[in-house]
Order: sequence, then C-alpha cells, then structure tokens
Amino acid sequence: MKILFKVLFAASLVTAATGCESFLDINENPNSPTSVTPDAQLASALTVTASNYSAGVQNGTSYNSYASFAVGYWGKSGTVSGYSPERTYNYSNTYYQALWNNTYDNLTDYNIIQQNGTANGYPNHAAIARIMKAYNFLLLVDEYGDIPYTNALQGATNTSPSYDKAADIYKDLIVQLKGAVTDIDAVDATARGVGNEDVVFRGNMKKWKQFANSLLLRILLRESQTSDAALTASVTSEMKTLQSAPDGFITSDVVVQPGYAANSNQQNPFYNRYGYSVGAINTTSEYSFVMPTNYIIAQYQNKNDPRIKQLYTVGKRTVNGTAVPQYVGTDLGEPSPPRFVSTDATVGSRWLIGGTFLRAPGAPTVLMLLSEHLFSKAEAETRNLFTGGEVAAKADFLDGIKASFVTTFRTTTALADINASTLATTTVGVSEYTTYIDGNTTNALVNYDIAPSAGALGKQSVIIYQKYLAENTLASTEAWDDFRRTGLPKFKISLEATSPTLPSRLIYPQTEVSTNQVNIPKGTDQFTKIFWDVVD
Amino acid sequence: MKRLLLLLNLLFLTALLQQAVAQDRSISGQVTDRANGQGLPGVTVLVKGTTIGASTNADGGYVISVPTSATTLSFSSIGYLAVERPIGTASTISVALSTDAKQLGEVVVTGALGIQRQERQVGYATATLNTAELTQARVTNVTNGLAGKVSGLQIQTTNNGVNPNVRVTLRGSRSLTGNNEALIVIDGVISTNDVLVALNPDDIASVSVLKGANAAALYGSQASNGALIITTKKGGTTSQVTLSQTSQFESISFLPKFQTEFGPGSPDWYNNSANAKAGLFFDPNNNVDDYTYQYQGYENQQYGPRYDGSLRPFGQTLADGSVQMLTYEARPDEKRKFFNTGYQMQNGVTFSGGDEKTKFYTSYQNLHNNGIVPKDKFDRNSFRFNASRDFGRLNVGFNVLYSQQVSDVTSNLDRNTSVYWNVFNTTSLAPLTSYKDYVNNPYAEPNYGYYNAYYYNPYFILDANRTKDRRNTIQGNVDVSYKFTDWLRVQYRLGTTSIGQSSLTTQNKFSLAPGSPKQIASYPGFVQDLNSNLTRLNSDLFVSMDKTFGDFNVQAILGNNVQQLDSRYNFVASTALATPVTGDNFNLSNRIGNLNGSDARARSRVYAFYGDVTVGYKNFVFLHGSGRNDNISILDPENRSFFYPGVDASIVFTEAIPALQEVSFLDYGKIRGGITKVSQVNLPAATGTGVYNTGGAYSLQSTYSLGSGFPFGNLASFTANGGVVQPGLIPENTRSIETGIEFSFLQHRAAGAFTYYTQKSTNQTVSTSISGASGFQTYLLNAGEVQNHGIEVDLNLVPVRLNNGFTFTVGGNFNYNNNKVISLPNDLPQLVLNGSGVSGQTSNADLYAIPGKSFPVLQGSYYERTDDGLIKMMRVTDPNDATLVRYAPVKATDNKIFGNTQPKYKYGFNTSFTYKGITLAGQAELRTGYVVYNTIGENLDFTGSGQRTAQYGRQDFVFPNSAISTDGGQTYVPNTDGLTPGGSEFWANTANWNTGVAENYVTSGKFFKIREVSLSYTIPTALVSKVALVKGASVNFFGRNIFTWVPKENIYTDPEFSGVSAGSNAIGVNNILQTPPTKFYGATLNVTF
Repeated sequence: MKILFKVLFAASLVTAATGCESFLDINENPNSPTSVTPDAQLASALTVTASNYSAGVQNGTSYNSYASFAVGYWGKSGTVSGYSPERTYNYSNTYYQALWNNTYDNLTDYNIIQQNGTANGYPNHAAIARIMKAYNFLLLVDEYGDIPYTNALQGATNTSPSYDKAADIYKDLIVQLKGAVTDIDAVDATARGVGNEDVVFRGNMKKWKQFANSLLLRILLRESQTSDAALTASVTSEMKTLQSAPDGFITSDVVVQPGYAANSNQQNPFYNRYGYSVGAINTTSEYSFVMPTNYIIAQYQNKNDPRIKQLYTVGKRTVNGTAVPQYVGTDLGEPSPPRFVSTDATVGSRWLIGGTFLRAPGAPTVLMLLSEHLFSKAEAETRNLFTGGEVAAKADFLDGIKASFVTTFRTTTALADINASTLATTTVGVSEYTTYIDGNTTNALVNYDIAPSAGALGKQSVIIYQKYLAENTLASTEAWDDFRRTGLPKFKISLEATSPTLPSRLIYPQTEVSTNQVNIPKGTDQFTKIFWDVVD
Repeated sequence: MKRLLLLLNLLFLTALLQQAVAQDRSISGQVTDRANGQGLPGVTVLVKGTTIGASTNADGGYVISVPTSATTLSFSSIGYLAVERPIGTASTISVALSTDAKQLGEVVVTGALGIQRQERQVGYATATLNTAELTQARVTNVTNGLAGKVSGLQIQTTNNGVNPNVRVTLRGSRSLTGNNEALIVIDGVISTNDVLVALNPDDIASVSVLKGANAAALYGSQASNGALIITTKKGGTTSQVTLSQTSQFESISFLPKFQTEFGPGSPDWYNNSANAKAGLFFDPNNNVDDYTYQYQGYENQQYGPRYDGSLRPFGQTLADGSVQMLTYEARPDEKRKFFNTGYQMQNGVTFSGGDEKTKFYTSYQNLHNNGIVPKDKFDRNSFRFNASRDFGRLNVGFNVLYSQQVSDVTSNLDRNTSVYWNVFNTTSLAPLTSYKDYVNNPYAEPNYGYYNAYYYNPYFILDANRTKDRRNTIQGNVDVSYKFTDWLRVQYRLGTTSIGQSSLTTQNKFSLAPGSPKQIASYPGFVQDLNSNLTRLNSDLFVSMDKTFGDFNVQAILGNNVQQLDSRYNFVASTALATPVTGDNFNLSNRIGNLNGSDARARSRVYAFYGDVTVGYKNFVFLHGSGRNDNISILDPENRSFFYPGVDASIVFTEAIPALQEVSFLDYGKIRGGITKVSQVNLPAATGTGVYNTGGAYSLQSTYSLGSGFPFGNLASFTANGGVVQPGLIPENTRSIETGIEFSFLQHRAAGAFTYYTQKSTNQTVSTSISGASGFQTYLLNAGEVQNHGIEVDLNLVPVRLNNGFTFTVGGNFNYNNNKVISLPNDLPQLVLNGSGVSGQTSNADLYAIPGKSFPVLQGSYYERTDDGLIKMMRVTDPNDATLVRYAPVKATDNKIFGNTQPKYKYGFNTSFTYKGITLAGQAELRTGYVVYNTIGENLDFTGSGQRTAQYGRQDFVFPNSAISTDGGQTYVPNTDGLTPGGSEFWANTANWNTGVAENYVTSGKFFKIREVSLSYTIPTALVSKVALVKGASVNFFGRNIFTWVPKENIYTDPEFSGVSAGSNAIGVNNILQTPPTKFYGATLNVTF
C-alpha cells in the first residue's frame, strides 16, 4: 500500500510540476472551423438570402410573407386566429423583427467573403459578395429607412453602429453595384473562377454583371419620383449610363438553386413552410392559415386570366342550397373568413399544390423575376428615363406579361425552364399568354395601346398594375415597394384597420432597441415614410 | 472531527476515572438515540457534582461505579441534549437522548478539501444539516431536503415531473450571464450539479452549506457561488443492516383557474352581430356548425355561448355521419382527473460495519416513480460502497456511487406535443377522461372523433411522443493519507464524476385520414438519438499540519489541485418516418430523407496551487488566510494564470472577555468577519445537449458552422456564427466581504446567528447582445458589474424542554438579498438574458440586466397611460355596425420594467415536538419581494379556458381605469361608459389589446409553502427486540408541499417554476410545457438489524 501511495504521490507531483504549459494547450476547437475560404461560404450565403427574401423558415422571418399581407395578396383564413398586426396595421417592435438581424447576419457572410476574397485571391467571389451586399442593404433600407450602413458589419470594432440616411445609402448602393461590375471586368483571366458554389449563375460572371445592372435599375426607379430635384437629376443621368451598360440586363428569372430536395432543411423554403414537411402526407398547418384576397382573385377572374388555374384551388359557395364551385377569397379583416372544410357552406381557395407557388420541394427560389425587370424597363421607357419611348415600353410591357406567364406555367424545377430569354412560342405558358392578350384587347389594364396616357402616372399605372400581378407571392416585396412609391394598385384596406392609411414601413426592432437605442432615429412609427415613398 | 472529539473525551475521562475513589456500587444501562432507538456510543455519563464518570461503548452500553452519596447521573453527548436521572436504588438506568438544537461553536463543519473544523474556528457563515434533517420528508433529490432550512440558500425546482430539475443558488446571483449555481462537492471532490439527481439521499451523512466565496475559496474559481459540501456515510464499529421502505403519493397542488361558464366557439365580434341580436347562438337545426353561429363544438377556443344544459352536437361529424351529442354544461373536474395520483416507492437497504481499523458502508436503493402525467415513469437504482482502512500511519479509503436513472416521459416539445397545454386548453364541456381509449372509442380517435379540430387528443399525444432517457453515473474517489507525525499529514485524493447519458426521443408518424375534417399538422414522426457523456477528474495532493505552540495553534495546508473535464455528445436523427411504428420499434432506418446529425467534444483543464493557514490563540481567537493560484486551459496563455487571496477571523468573545464568562445566561458568542476575492472564468459551458458541457473551452474564437441544409449533395458551405469575442478575455472577479455574530443563551435554549455580506463581481465575462447591424448578435467580453448585499438571520429556540423528554423547538431563518447591476458592458442600457422569454414561449416579456436595477428584471409590453395613470383607449370599429362606438386599450410601443424576478426576502420556518420516540416536525417557507411572468396566462386567454376571460361575462364592458380622448389624443377624460368589445376579438385574437400585453400576466411571485410535515415514531427497543435480530424500528408519516398559498392575483401556477434553459440565469418566466406543481404524502418504515 505504501508503494501505491508513493506512486500516486509521484504521479501527481509530475502532473503538477512538469509541462504545465503543454498540459493546458488543449484549446484548439475540434468542433467548428474558425476560418473558411470564400468558395466555402458563398453557397450558404446565397441560399440564406433566397430564404429570407422568399419564405423564411419560421413565422416572421421572410420579406415575402410580410409584404404579401401588406400589399393585399394574402388574407387570414378562418382556420386560425391571430395575424392581428396584419389585420389592424397595429405593428409592434417585435413584428417581423427577425428580418433585421437575419439580414445583417447574412450580410456578414458577404462581407467576410468580400474581404477574404479581395485579400486572398478570390476576386470574382468578392465581386459577387459586393453585389449581394447591395441587394440585402436595399431590402433593409426599403423596410426601415435609415439604418446602420457605413459603420455596420464591423463586429467587435463597433457594436452599436450609428445610422446613415436612407437616401445616402441609396447613393452608395449605386456606387457599389457599378464598382462590382468594374471589379469583374478587371479580373485577370488567370484568376480563380467561381464554381458550383455560385448557386445562382454557376460561375457565369457576365450574368452577375447583368444582375447588377438590373438591380441598379430597381434602385434608380424606386427613388425616381421624389420631389428632390438634385436626386431626380442624378437618377436621370445614372439611367442614361445604365441603359447603355455593355453587359445589358438579366435575360431570365434570377433564382437560387443549391439543389433543393425532399430532405430536412433542404426543401424549397416556401414549399417547406406552406406545402409539405419532409415525408408528410398532409400539408403544413400554415398552408391553411393564409388564403388569397378577394381583390387579387378578382383581378385574374375579371380578365379570364389563365394564370389563376396555376395559382389557386377552386373553392365553393353555397347559393340557395346549391354548392357552386368557384374561386373564393377573403377580405382581410372580415370576422369569419372562409375555411377549407368541404362540409362548410363556403370553402376558400388556397394555393394550388403543384402550382406556381408550391411547385415541388426541389423548386428554385426567386431573387429577381425577369418580368419585374421588363416592367421596370418599360416604366423607364415610358417615363423617358430610358430612350425608346412608347414603342419600346409596349414591347417590354408585353414581354413582362409573357415572362410572368412563363414563370407561372413552368412545369419542372430545372433552372433552364424559367429562362424566358427567348420567350419563344414553344415555351410553356406562351399560348396562355396569347389567349390572355387576345381576350383582353378592350381592357385598358392589358392592352397597352388603350391604357390612359394622361393622369399623374400615365401609362406607368398599367405597367405597375401588371407588375403587381406578376409579382404575386413570388416577389411580393417589390410589389409592396412599388405600391408605396406609386400608390398602385388600389387594393382593399383591412376591415379591421385601426388607421385610415396603410403602414409605410416596419418599426425598428426590439433587438435593436435593447442594444443600440441611442442611435435609433427618434419619432418613427409604422406610418413614417421611406424617403422615396411619395404617394399616399 | 467527531471521532477525534470522541477520542479526546475518552482520554479526558480516563484521567477522571483515575481520580475516582470510594466507589461502592455499580450501575449499568444503555443510552439510545431517541430518534431511532439505536445505541449511542461515546456518551459521557457523570455522577453529578463529582468528576466520576464513564463513557458508553459502541452499542451505547455503559457501566459506572458510583459512591453511595451519589444522587443523580448526567448523560451528555455533543449534538444531544443532556439528561439527568436520579439514581435512587436502581441498578440499571437507560436513557434516550434527543438531538439538540444546534450547539453553536461545537458543531463540526466540513470545509474545503473535506477538512473538518469546529465552527468556532471559522470566520464565515456555514450551515450543516444531518441526515435526519435532510430526509425527514423522504425527498428523492437531496437538495429538495435543504429547501427553506438554511438562510441565504435558495432551492428552486424549476420544473416538475418524475425527475425534477433543481437549481441551487446562494446569496443571490452575481454573474450576469455566467454560472450562479453553487459548487457541488462530494466527499471532498468537486463534482457537478448533474450528479445531484443520482444520489440516494439516505447515503448522505451531512451537507455543509458554505454560503459565500469566503468559505469555499480553496476550491477555486467555481467557489465564488458558495458550495454544498456533501459527505456520505461511513461505516461504524458495529455491524448494522437497515431496511427502509417508503411509499408516497403525489397529486396536483395547483391548477390554473378555469372558467366554467362558456363552451367552445370562436367567432370574433359576435356580440353585436345580426345573429346575436336575433338571439341565435346555436345552429337552429342543431347541426354541426361552420362559423355561422357562435357555437362550434370542434373549436379549441372557448368563446362560445353560455352553458344552458341543452343537448348539442360536440365535435365534428364522424365518417359514418354520426356526431356525439352532449348536454351543454361544464364538466369542471375533468382536467384534474386527467392526471393520475402519482406513486413513488423507495426501497433501500444499507449495511455498515467494521472495526477499529476498517470501516465500510454499502447501500442499495431503488426509487420507482409513477408520475401524475399518465405513463410517465422514472426508476433510479443507486449503489454505494464506501470503505476505509488504517495501516498504521497510512489510511486508505474509497467511496463510490453507481447510479442508473431511467425515465420514460412524454416529450412536451411544443404546443402540438405538450400534454399540459392540451389538457388545460380543453373546453370544460368535454368529458375528457372518457376519451382515454382513442383506438376503440369513436369519439376519441384522432381522424374524425376527438372533438378538437385543431389539437390532438392528449391521450393520443401521450402515446405518440415519448422521451426515454437513461443515465449512468459513477461518482467516487480514492483517498490516501499518510501521517508523518502527529501533526503533519499528507493526503492524496483522486476523484471522478462520470455521467453517460443516452436519450431517445421519438414521435410516431400520424397522418390524418383523407376526408378528415381536422385542421391539425400531421406528426411526421422522428427518432432523435442523443448520446452524451461527461467525465470530470479531480486530483488533490496536500500536506496539512496542525500543531500547538504554547497558546498558539497553527493549522496549515499546502496543496496542488488538478482538474480535467472531458465531454462529448453525438446526435443522430431522422426527421420523418417512412411508416408508422407499432410499440416502440423505432429505428433510424425507418425514415424518409437524410439523417441529421451532429457531434462535438470538449476538454478543459485546470491546475492550481493553494495554501491555507489558520492561527488560533487560546482556542478563542482565530485568524485564517488562504490563497490560490489557478492555471486554466480555456483562456489565452498570457491570461490563464491568476491568483486570489482571502482572509477572515473569528473571536469567541464569550471566552475572550473574562467578564462574559460570568454571565450565566450566555453560553456562547462569536463574532467573525472576512474578505475574499475569487476569480472565476465564466465562459459559456452548458449546452442543452444532454449532459454535454464544454467547460468553457473553445470560446475565444468566432466559429463557422455548416449552413442550414448543407451539404446539398457534394456542395458544402459554411456560415459565420453570430458571436464575436473580445481578444484577451480575463477572469471575472468576485470580492466578497462578510461579517457576522453567533450566540447561544440559556443552556442552548436560544441560539442564533446574524450575517451581513456584500459581494461585488466585476469584469464579468458577459455574452452580451449587440446590435445585429454589427453583423453579429452576441459579443463575449469582460465588463459589467453586479453588487449583492444582504443579511442572513438564523434563530433556533427550545421553548419547552421537560425532564420527561418532551421537547418543543421552533426555528426560523431569514435572508434579505438585494442585488443591483452597477454597470453593463459597452455602456449598454440593458442586457437581455439568453434563454428567457422570447426564445421560450412568450414574446411579450423578457428578462434583463439594467444598470441601477435588481438582477434580473422582468421587462415587457404594457398599456399606454395618461399622466393620471389611466389606460389610454383608442376608438375601434365593430365590423357588424360601423356606427357602434367601441374602444380598445392602446399598447405602448416600448417596454416597461415590472420588477425583479428573484425573491428579495426569504423566510424559513421549522418546528418540532418530540416526546418518547415521537417526533412531529414541520418546515415552511415564504418568499416575497419579486414578480414572475406567467406565459400560461396568454394561452389561457387565447383559448378562453381561463377565468380571466370570463370576468365581464364576455359582454362588451367598460375597461377599468381607462380614459378616452375626443380630440385625437390631445387630452383624455376618464372613461365611464365607453365600451370595449368583450368577445374573442378582444380577449384572444387581437394580441395588441390583451394577450400581447405583458402587464396582464405579471403577478407577484410571493408564496408560502408548507414544505414538509413529518410524524415519526421510534418503536421502543423493548418492543422490537422481541422480534429476532431486530435492533430498532421506526415509522414516519410525512407530507411535502402540502400547502401552497399565493396571492389572489396569481391564478396561474406555482411561481417557483421557471421555464429556464440549463445554465441560464433567466429565471422568472414560466411556460406551458411544464408539469403542474404537486404535493406528496407518504409513509416510511425503517428497520435496523
């Protein structure tokens, strides 16, 4: 026993007295990397952007669901209680507050890619990140107005960044996007290319330049109607340059496709949230929480728009004891909205499973619709911001509608099928487009030629209207932005509205109030307008 | 030390006996412990008025020769009340001694490193509870036996269930986001809180509570939160077998207050609708309605018509076209009847024995627990073997615990799988308990039958969602000591705590049948298999001396401590089953889609050197100093070594001041005081992944993790995690000052202690929320300062102590703790605590640290008020009639502080009556001075099952204390007749009006609980010894938590509960996934052979 004791004693002395430093040098993290290269970061960043923009994974985390309610596409069904901010416009600082942190968190990844890319020989990755930063900052500015920009994304260096004026951020976004195009042009041919980690254009840098140009058009148009003469002059001059940009604009829907599949966390995020969970036979509950508004259904029905068949299921209304199948929407705020129980007298319409919105678990997610771009271009032309006049405007207007039909009727999930660049008659959806145009020759909302050219907005109004239909639920954010800019279209305000006007923005989030209160601009609420929001 | 004292006694007596002369007759007898009838060794038997004495042997027997002049014998032993007996002509005198109220100064304190000290020597506050005090009400978790018994100690059962979690804190919270829980030390070895649930309470000999950093500094960093020093039982010199059986019953002590006036239904704005005006609340043909009328028998919300006893269709139409018809009335007992009466059984056997040199103790206990939630089960089997042997100067011992805990409970993951939520939100119309057989009962089956169109039958939920958890815990140590001389000793102790956990959470696949009218999300089914383990090694080598130089006594320790923590987990899960499973045949291969998986491992190490010196002068002045140098792996090399010292002193003034020695009523008095600094590295450690614990390792660098959904095929991609870290983190410091006085009067009939303490923790390692615009959400840095100060008072009285053995004691303790956040990192105005509200169940309120306020404070949404405090109302429109003027309260856009969520005042009360082997003891606790947030209230209002929603009879009502404006908000006048809509549109469905406003659900956290009542009877030895071999027997009847009082405003739940995640300080928000609070009744039989 004495020997045991001696051994133990000796052992502990050895432990205590020798090699103490190496004894403690066990702090290398075996579980997570502490640095990664830009090519190992890009795909995730792009996929997150798409998810934030189009659906999010949880309630209150997507620009699309927020905007879809705000701009009159969606109403609450009778299946669920709640959605009171949506119905009353009574926003709080927790309403959609996740958008703020989620977007900045995503921006951090782009920021790191840009810094590492520039420093370590990934110039193409850096340029992509620069474009995507502009894309994301634009989302934030359009919902919150003044936000941290120049001092943002500095981590521990500045944990409570000051706010920049929304208009100033707009100015810089233009600089950044033009800079990104220049960066790509300046990349040495021998420099490292971009591979499959580019889940948008698979490394095609020309397409990234086109995307930057289309994004630039989105930005310029949005701030094109203020009463600020200097700004208007600058927009005019920027537009002139942009129209002749060497690489041109996007030629198809810009989508993210990392390889969505029916696996957990790998499904198309909109499908995952509103369609089916992996392996589920029944739809998610959220599928039954929202339904189309009467307003949006009427827009399709009034014009015998074939797109509606790809969008919604047919419900029914019982009239004098007879059930009549029809599309049934809701008025936001009505006390007892329809449900989806077959025995009810009224059965509501929902998104069509396998239709445009819930095509498949592997469907790509949208960053920018070709139709949106074409309508923007048409608007620039009719307003003489671009040259070409009404002839070009009409052509782009019709192409915009056609692109929307192609997107709506696409049947498979492959990237190529959304490509509407040729808009050939063989493309699926084009015949329906023709039907629509031919059937509405007397409708001033479809036939560009008879659309009124007088009035405050002139033919811009019909362009905005068709853009609204094209962006339904796919890119509702842009429709919401256009509504705030132009006041069009005049969809129905909620029956439970506690204010006579619609909100104009989100309230700075609670998380920001807790952590950066001193810098938050004072006196804003959900009715405070963003600087480009000029029409009531 | 007790044994040492005994030895001293014997020596002393030998000296006495030598003086004994003129003896002429012999008296013998046995001295027993009144509590259990067992023989008491080492009792001093003295002939009163002389120095003639004897000492009892191991079985309590004694023989004494007394002179003829002797009239009285006195019996005394430390820890017991002395007894005197007239001699008369008796030749045998047997007595039973009862335990004394604490004899301060004589009590032995087990301090740092397991070294025992007399309490008079220590300059800091401690408390020691023995096995009887801990287990009188047969707790299954030893810490529950401490609740309310020690001032400054807060035992908080954060959740209920078959194996509840307990949080142990001392003297409030110091660290903003770090660990505030007391250090757990078992037999001298640092262990972990996780081990507490594995211990058999019957194995515990004593628990010493070292209340502050001053006492525990030698244990190192973790000691800044105080420590529980648990000592397990050792063998004695006689062989003894004890069998014990406990059976107890558990029932719900508290359910929220439910309304019993209104049935199911959910139409908003019904009060002024055309149907309501026409008196139509039900479908005139009594059909299963859609949402045309107020009544919907399938609604989960309960905003339907008032009960009227008529016959109504309940639920939806079954596949065969039939529908259940029920009388439209409340069945208010159904919710309570859903829950079982729980049954717990503790069967234990202990065997102890040994001789002068060898001691051993072994035990086995089985704890079986059938919980109140149907099908919840928990089993614990614990084995212990403790042994030691003297080899001359060498002593070798070991203690080892092996414990296996197996639980099988319902998962309670979220609303759709939570039993509690689904039971309390069931309409009172439902005969809930008749739906138990959901396989055969057509009105209970989930596709058509069960009435609720939006939630599953709770009985079905129970079966479909199970979590089976198995933990194996080994905790033990080897202890070797060698005595060089009488005063110099070296000791080595190597200990380990090793916990292996494997946990299987399953959900069976369930898809609604085609044509089912239900609007419920399917159960995709899944298997989540988690394995985690944690191994903590602790090695202590120290030299100790204890030598007297004249009037001075020096006790010194010099030592080395090495600790290592190894932990890992692996987790693999399927997210959807391919086919439903029968029984529990879950397997990962039965799945759709990829497997999800993750794993991690962590290791951290510490080595330290420490020294400790106590100098005593004449055994009444003591000066003590200690210092420790830690070297810790988880910090940067330049910051990883740090030193912290402490000093304290105590003076037994009743002995130091000669004049006081003459004061007959004063037995003992001591003043003490000390100051200590402890440095603690409080990096995030607990993870919520089983028992996996990083020990703070790898926190210094920001990391990247695999993006959500990645890898997509061969495309992997990473994303930056949301945290940044300040370079060069250093430990946080807690400076703790305490001073106190202890005294006892009137032969220990009154004893008390008073302590004042103040602690300041600076340089906290805080993971703070930062502006998301920085690109990150959290920042780990050194900053922030929290101050705690408070007082602790303990008072124990023995108002009655009669010679016939009747004793009545009463005691109380009190703790006032006030803490304040002095500053926060980055000059933040407030810091939100992770793991609280928003990430839990509510988005209305959250817990914060705010400079100048207590910590933590509850902050949340509230109504806007006028300067006179009236709630501002805004005009709203009733969609039925735009001319109706209605008003709704205005929710403020910012948040308001409601108050601190940790009690400022805690009172403990205890009392006992003892007479001839019968002991009646009771213990109660009162906590006050804080608020809690009841998330459950939001849910009760949302579904309309809560009493609060029925307070205005669901009619449009005048909102109390409100004001309306007629000039667009410029001025407000008190509202006397402006009506607020009173249906579901107000109570449930417009969050900004009611359920989204935190102030509606904040209540005082005050409660008074009778924690323990026990009646025990030690069957007289004379009776039981007639049965072969039996030496003693006792029975004990007890109840726990038998009474809970809360203020009237708290109609929700036990405020002690908190839906806190492991390791978080965000205490004070309870949630809906918790099991209701319960009370226990039971009985124990103990037999000793």
